[in-house]
Amino acid sequence: MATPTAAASNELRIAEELKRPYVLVLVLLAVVTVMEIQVPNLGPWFGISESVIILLLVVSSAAKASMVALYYMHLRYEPRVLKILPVGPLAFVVLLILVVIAH
Amino acid sequence: MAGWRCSSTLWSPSAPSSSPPACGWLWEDAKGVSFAVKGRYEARPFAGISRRKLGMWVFLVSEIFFFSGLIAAGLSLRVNAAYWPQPATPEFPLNIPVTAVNTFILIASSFTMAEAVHAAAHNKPARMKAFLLATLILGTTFVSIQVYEYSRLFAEGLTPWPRLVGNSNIPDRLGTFGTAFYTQTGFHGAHVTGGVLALAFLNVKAWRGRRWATRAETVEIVGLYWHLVDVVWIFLFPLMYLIGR
Repeated sequence: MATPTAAASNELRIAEELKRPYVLVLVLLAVVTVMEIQVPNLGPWFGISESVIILLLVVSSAAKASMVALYYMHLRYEPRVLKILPVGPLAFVVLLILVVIAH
Repeated sequence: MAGWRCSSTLWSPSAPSSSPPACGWLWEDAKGVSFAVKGRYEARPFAGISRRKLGMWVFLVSEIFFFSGLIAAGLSLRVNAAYWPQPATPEFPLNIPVTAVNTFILIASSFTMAEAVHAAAHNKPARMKAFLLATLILGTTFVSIQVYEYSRLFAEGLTPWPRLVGNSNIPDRLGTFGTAFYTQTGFHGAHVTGGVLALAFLNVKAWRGRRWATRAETVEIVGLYWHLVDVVWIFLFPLMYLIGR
């Protein structure tokens, strides 16, 4: 259980640091999602190769996930040690994907 | 021990070559002095972060590991499968427009959850409860649409296991795709269902006026989990619905 001081300081931090562009992030997420849905249909029409389409979708997904993590999960406003915490598994993700690609 | 000199450092150039390098460290350790004292470190790196919130983040890290493995297994199945359907072709069994709407619903639920945390932090319980309820409704809608899609796909013959009856609109060669699809979206759906249950519990407690349920930290901790299932779906949706092979 958290100490009262830590909990209180956390609530204070949440209250003070909330100048967040929630609506803007929502709009951006929606716009990027619409683009994602259209890419597989329009890509071949514009002569974009399948590998470029996959790359675009991976990059757009990573951008969307970053927006959610930074603004909705408040990682942007958290102490550095908490920002680092979720980065560890990302190295694991990259490693796994590289192994799959290598095969 | 003649000729050995235990310095306070790990290894001293002035020490005789026969001195074991770890001697100083062992000596310091035996004296009960932390070796880290000599370097740059923080005694309490997580000071100021509540333990409940830190615990949730550690749990989320384990969830990222879990879904990473699951997605990597799905990718491995995909690249090794004899056949994989291409999106935007008549044979592709999944309904992209319906799931796109579902994706918007989940993204919107993340927005309402963030607003609920914001309202709780600014001591606006009525606004917080309204956004919390909206999140619950959106989350329930997401699960309902996924259940509808599963039932439709099952009726058409796309199953997670080899088909036992031949009467189906889905070709047999989609078996591997079905396994990968149901495994990944199924585990995600189970996590969303867990989040919906947590939201339902929090809603009941908040609407009944329990003080702990309207605290910013409580709402934030539930919100962190909810956002994670959104993040996972952000990757799963293009992977299963938009990318071929």
